[in-house]
Amino acid sequence: MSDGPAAADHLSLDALAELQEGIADDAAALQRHLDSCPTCRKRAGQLHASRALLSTLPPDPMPADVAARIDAALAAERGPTAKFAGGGDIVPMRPRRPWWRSPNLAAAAAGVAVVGLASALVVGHLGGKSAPSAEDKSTGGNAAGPLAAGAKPGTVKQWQTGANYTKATQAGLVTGLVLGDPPPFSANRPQTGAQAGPTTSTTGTSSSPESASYTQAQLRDVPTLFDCARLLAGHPVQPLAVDYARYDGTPAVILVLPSLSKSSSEFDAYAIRSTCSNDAGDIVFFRVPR
Amino acid sequence: MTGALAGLDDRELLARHAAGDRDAFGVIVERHRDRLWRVALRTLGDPEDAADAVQDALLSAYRAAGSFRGDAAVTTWLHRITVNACLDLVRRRTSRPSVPLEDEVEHADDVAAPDVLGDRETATEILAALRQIGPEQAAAVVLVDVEGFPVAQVAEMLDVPVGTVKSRCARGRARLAALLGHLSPTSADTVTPPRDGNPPSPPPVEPGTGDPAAGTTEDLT
Repeated sequence: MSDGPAAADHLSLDALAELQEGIADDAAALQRHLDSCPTCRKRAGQLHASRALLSTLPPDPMPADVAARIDAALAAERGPTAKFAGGGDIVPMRPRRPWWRSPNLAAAAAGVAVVGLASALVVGHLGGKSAPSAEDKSTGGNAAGPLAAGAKPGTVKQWQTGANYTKATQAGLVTGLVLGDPPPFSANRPQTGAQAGPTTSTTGTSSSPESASYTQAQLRDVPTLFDCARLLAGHPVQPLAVDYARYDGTPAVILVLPSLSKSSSEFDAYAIRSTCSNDAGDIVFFRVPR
Repeated sequence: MTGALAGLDDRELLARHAAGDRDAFGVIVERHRDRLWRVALRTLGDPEDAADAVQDALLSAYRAAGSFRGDAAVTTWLHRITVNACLDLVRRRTSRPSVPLEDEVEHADDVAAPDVLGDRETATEILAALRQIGPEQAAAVVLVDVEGFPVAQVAEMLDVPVGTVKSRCARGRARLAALLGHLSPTSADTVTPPRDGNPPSPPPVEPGTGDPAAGTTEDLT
């Protein structure tokens, strides 16, 4: 902790701070030295002075823009159909729709073309390996594995945090999206907001997936999320979570998929800032440790 | 719409939030956000980081309200979540290259915006010094010395033993005193008047203050 107070030595700031805090090992000896040493008393005063300096910090209130941003994030978290279930993590925006009821996705799962992805988006893309191996199942968990015939239909955790994803915050936010455990959806909850029915895309996704394009509004529909995920990953894949939020301040759909690297310790996340399509040059890809 | 809620204490508000009251959490936020903001700002020493941390913290609190343990004060719980968000934010960044801390301190004057004057400039230097000593010591010093929480409550907030809070405070104060000494060159005399006119001696060698990383992890529990 502190050096012993040999007669000729002065006390360090550390020793003096410990003495003041009452945690010095040899308080009596330190105090004796202090009582007889003007230099050390002066140094002790330096400690008091810096504590006094701290008290001059202005009582900054939260800036209005920060308060507004946080209010917005909380309001989005509350959601239009908010019904907080104690301990639950999300408020589902609408009923989750089994993937097999999506014509588009059923077609995809049935083996429609596996497409690649614009190279700008592909980081560590290993190609169109879509069939999960036994290893995938053992290490990647059920929902995290790619879809395949016989795969259990999964659900997508839909969030609407409104949070602003940045390089600094994205990792933590994405992890929260995936690990959050939504309460069971109550089927008789009255629906508000978006239309209940699926948005049947008119862009011909089943026949020519590589040219498909989905707007942010369309991505509120679960089947469309699966179509988008297939587009981004290059093969049918179960989206893990989605968040209707912002990226670097602009509205974005954050879509979280199992990692293309097949690593069970990572997620792949895409910030879709305009459309989900191979032509969109503004999709941001980032990989997040689980 | 929150008029009736305003009369409730934090614990009751949190219970109502967990039970589905849409407005209850907003009242809690209204009450605590300025303080949480200050704690985050001073723990991290950076407004952008502080905004991210408080947002993360309040969203976490919103979602985790059901897991709130009734034996803790809501204030303590919120501060714990906020400090954790601050520490998480710093940890996530340790993997990316950054300016060595020594350089930051030597250039503390450059960090201050050129157009801030007087108290603002002093506040900026204090923030730079708090950032320099690292979030764990900064959080302890800020919570105890600036916000005035009892050490025992801060121990709960930081989830460490009381002794750890005290040692973090002591180390943090010692390092702040070294970093901020130039801002109060004469005040030391007024606090503890010397008994004679001896000129000040050269600064002592202080193990632990030369290494910014020292003490930031060794007492992790």
